[in-house]
Amino acid sequence: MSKLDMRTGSTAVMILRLLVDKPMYGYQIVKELQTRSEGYFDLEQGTLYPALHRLEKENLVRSEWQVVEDGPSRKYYYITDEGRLELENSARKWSDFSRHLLNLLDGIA
Amino acid sequence: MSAVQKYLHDFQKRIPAHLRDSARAEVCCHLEELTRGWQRRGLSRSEAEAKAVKQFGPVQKISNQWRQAAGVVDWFDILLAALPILGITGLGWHMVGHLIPLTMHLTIFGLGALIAWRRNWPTWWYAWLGWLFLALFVVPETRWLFFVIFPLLVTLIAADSWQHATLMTLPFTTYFAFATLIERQQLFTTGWGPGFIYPGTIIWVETAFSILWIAVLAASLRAARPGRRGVYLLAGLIGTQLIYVGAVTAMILLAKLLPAYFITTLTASRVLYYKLPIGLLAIGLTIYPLLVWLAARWVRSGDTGPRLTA
Repeated sequence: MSKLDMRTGSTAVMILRLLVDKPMYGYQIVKELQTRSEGYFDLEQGTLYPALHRLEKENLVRSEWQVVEDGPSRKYYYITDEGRLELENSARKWSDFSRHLLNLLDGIA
Repeated sequence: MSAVQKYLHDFQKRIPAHLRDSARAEVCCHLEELTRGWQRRGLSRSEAEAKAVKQFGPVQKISNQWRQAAGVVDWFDILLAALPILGITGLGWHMVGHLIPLTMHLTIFGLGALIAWRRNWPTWWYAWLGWLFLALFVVPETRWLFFVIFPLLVTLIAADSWQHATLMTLPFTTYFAFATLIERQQLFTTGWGPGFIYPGTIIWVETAFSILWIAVLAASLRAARPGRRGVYLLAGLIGTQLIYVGAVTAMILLAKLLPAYFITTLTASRVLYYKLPIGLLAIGLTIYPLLVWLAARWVRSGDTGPRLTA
């Protein structure tokens, strides 16, 4: 059974997708999400961190504090191998879901 | 106090001590970046901070989600976990001699399951699950089903989370062990006092033990660090089982030391061949989930020395 429940996992899927490209810290994840979705996914920013911590508990991401020269230390998040696998599974499920939904809505929008 | 400082102050009050430093640092970093972003758009520092905390989200909501993600169990969840014990005690006080119809039992648990499913199977649900299986056990027609499903389910759950599996075994390691070890009419007063020591005081004794079990449950679930939760639960359960052993021992000692005042129906063979195995079974059942979890960890990791971590 996928650890990324379809009911609650859309934020988790988005986070994992971003982390596949490179490790990021929280603020960076939010900005990247806004940029790539052209403002469509605009999270209440604090809710990102509980999602990240849940992913970390599930061993789908890991974190590491890094010292930054011109500001406070940042906690970077990295996707794990297990996270990559879960992302592939979830991406497949979301793809099937959206394909069938679009078929159903064909002609309406 | 600036808007960001106030937010951090209110936020960290709501976060458990062992997570506070890390959580504060992470939130502080994010709010600082948000503030700088607004300042780059021409806002003053105070205006930028006000925008930043608004964008981050209400402090109570965010801190609650943070706590939930960290596995902190709130008092409402503890109450839900304790409800079956309260229900059994309530039955003892108000419905002595009456049994709950099976349909009502299944309805109550069905509702509980629905709430638990909606909340993604929280910890308290595992405490409820054990009481559902107790119902299967006490009904003779379904007892065989209990012996098939229950051990398998406890083992499967324990492989992943021994704390959840221990919560599942609660009805058997607490109430059932109590009812079989400290049976009625085991101790009498001879020509003085209430006669039967135990049955006359059964409601009070059961209530006292219910309070003890709820206290153990609350202390363990309330532990902020998940690793300590299981330790507190194990310690509490084994502690209560030792109290049962102490009570049986006290009955025997009273009858031996003060035969003019107390007599007991307990015999050496009953203690050896019935009480002792039940007692050992209760303790064994208490630590069984932990042993399964350790074995599963060892198999998964391939290490020779499994670590006891949360």
